[in-house]
Amino acid sequence: MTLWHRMVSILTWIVRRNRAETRLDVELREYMVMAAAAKMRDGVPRDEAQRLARLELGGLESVKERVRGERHGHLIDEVARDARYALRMFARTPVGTAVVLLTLALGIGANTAVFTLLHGLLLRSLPVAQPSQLARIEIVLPATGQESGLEWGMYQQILRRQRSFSQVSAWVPGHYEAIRDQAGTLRRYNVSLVSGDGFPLLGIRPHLGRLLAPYDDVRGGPPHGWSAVLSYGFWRDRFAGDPAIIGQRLQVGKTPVTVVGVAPADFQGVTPGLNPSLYLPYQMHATLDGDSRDVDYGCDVLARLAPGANLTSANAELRIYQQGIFEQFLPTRVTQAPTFRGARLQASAARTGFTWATKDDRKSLLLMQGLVAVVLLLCCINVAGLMLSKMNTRQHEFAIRKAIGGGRVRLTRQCLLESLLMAVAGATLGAVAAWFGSAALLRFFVDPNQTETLSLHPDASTFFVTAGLAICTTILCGIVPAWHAGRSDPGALLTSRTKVAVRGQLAGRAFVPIQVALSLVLVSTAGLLSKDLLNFRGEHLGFDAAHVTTETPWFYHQLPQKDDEAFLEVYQQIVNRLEELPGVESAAITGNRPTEHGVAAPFQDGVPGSSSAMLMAYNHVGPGYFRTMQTTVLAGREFDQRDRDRSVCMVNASAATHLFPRGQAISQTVKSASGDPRLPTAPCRVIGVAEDARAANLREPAPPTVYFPITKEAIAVHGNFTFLIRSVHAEDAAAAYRTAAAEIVPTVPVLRFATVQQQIDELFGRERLIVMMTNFFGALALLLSAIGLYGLLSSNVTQRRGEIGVRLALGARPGTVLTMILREAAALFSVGLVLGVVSRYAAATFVQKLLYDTSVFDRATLVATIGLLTVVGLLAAFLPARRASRVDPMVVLRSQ
Amino acid sequence: MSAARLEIPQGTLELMIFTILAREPLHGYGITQRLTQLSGDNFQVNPGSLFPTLYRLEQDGHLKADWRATANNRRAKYYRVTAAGRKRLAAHRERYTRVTLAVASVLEGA
Repeated sequence: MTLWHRMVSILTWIVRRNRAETRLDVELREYMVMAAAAKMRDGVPRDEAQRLARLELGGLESVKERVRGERHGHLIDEVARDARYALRMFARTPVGTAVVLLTLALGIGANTAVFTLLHGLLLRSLPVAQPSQLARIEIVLPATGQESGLEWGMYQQILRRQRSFSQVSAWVPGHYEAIRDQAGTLRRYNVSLVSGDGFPLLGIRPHLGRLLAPYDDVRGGPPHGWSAVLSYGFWRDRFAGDPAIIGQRLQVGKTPVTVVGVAPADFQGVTPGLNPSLYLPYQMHATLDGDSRDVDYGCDVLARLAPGANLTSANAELRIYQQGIFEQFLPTRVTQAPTFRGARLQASAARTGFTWATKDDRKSLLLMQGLVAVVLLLCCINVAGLMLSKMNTRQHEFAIRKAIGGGRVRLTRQCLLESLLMAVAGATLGAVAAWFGSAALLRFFVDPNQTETLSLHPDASTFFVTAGLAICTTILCGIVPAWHAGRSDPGALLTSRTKVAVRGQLAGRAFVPIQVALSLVLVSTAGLLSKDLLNFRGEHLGFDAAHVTTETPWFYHQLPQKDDEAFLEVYQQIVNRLEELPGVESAAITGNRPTEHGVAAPFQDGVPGSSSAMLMAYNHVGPGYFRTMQTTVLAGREFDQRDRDRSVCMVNASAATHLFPRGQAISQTVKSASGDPRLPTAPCRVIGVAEDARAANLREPAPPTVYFPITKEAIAVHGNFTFLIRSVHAEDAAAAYRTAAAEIVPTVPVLRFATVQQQIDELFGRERLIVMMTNFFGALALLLSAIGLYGLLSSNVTQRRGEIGVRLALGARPGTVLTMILREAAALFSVGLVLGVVSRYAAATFVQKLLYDTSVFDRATLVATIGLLTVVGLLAAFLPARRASRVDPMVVLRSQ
Repeated sequence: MSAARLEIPQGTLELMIFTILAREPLHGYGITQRLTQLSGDNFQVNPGSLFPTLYRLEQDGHLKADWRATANNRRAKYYRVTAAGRKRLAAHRERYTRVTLAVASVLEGA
């Protein structure tokens, strides 16, 4: 029997099945006719002979089924027939099918989306040669639990002294540069700087041209000019995948570069999620900065272990010379600080590259994965419940199928196939949803300015996870109904309907309390998290966040004005112009953006001899800053056009109480206690006291703050200043800025506008996401348990119509029947509530970690949750209960 | 049906069908009758076993079937043994003879 023969025979069977079936039927009937004829010849009467012949055959359909079982490919055929049958069954109950499908799509989609993130950010290996040999080298500070990159000089030292690695490279991710492309559009793109050995170390092959090599990375630039490698996505999107790009020139900042190659499609840099558009030689940074300071960037050091070396030996080696490196490159102020105690150079596995996800990110991601897993479980329970109640109504069908020769295996297989079809369809829908969902989710995890270059989409391993989920779902949803179907007993069923019906729903009952319990946990967690975030948002911040739009253009590198005075004059011109434009109430500039971490420095009372210096935040702000931010000036006045030097300053209320505890701050003096020449060392007269306004860490009270006017020293501190534009509508502010910029600074690109409120929301992006997700899933859980309870009770009522009819006929009032059904629902529900409260307390320590100032044992939330669940439960139970109370005894008794 | 009928030993149904069909082509009922008759009324094959076996052998190319008119002018499916089937019959037969001889000699020698 050759394979060929077998395939032909399968094909023939599939194609010519109808003919074969007819022939089989004719053949078997002929057999019966012959058998009957033979018996008649022996003297048996005609009718009796025919009956005996039928008995001898032992059931026409059952013989046919056994013959079909002998065919090659009969399994394929049977499965196909089962599938067709299942589809017909689905089509017959479109609403129920849609509910199941959507439930599964939600559960699987949510899991796939979150897993895509988890996988892309934390788990995926870099697509390079032997990623398991990769190691990252960083400074670990055990005192603070932090890790930090290395200085370029340290990298050079390690490069010279190490023996454990075959190659060591340095990467600077996330450097933004304005790039003018062929169309002449100027936009900012994420650029990664890499030392010359970076690409050779990875061992990847370019998509086009070549990758950067050591001879490209020369201080001051190689003789042929700077080279650049494009990312595959940037090349495809910006240059339409034009192969002629090799050798062309681009302008990065003010520097021309030559494109030498395109990176492979799957390579998205060594920092997951960041996906730079352009790779440039490390040494180009000085040229890009356009200044003579020649400051080296910190860098991420990526190394490849030499053959025979491992991380332990590499770390032992690093320990030998780490002290020398620290002493050479770090000031004693740093190395002597208590935070630096125990610091060491450490090599660790970097299979996944530089996963920037912080511990908090990791925690949130894992929490989300946990959350969606619970939701999937809930979805499965729900679908299993729905399927089971459907099975109960199909008991009759199964009994008949079994009676005419359907085997137990066949029935079980049929049920499993139905759940598999559902799960596959659900998973497909879910995967589509996840494709869009994961991109949306990612925005909550990264700086929104970067999303343009970010890409994470489900890939092959995500696909396997989704497929795995679909299979698990099938098993979870389908196994109980399938077992029930296989067990159905034709005899018992065909004689009596009520007996079996009661037995059939025991398994369905158990689902309700579990659903209620899971819903309670999800809903109360959602309640706690929302309350926590609302608490915070309701607090007074000391400024009006909603109506102030910010814009921080990169004047420092992009304005031609070299003179400081002229540079500041440009800002003032724009502010003046903005205030003339329609819709703008006021405008001002500031050094620190309202949500930005400022730097702190020691300040003291300006009285000679006073020595009580104190660490304070400071900022440089222009005229009209407090008016624009709507921060109240409590005493004195705010800066105006006259204040252009360091003779004056302002303080906030808490700085005033710290510096001048005995009273009046106005007309007192303040000076810097650090030696920093960029700060005023001579006493400045306090001309105003402003109310406390919270800064970067909005959860904490405002730090004591000193404000100085914008002067040329401020340029050295901040580089670029930020415009604050106050308007009723944010669009007016943006339009006004575009107008002003087009008139005054036409060469500088306009960046993204954002209101302060948006920036605050982004600052709390992860927390908001989790609150949103728990709220959404909490509501979903509520809906699912309502559907579950409703489904169970209504099929219960349908099956008990007989019993209810008898009760009513014997004199029970409809009200009594209503209470009876409701009481049964209440019993199931209470078990669920108790279970839920218990598991909620079991999860308390975990949930508490996510809350800032709300207690996990907050009674109001718990009471509200239980109340909400009870209302939803009552509603779900009331409809079937009312239906039961309206049963007409006459109709029921006649139909029995 | 007589109560004294024997169960057809595992694996011998195929061999007997081959042997019967090797003599002349027959339809399903004909095979049943011939088998009962040749076995001295000891074996009665059940259609639930006969037809699956026939279909399997046909599918594997050991039997070939065609529709012919019967004695009373009805159409029936007649099976006959193919060349491949004859080869298989010979092999089966040889093995079966060896088995029965072996069993017999054990019984006699004991």
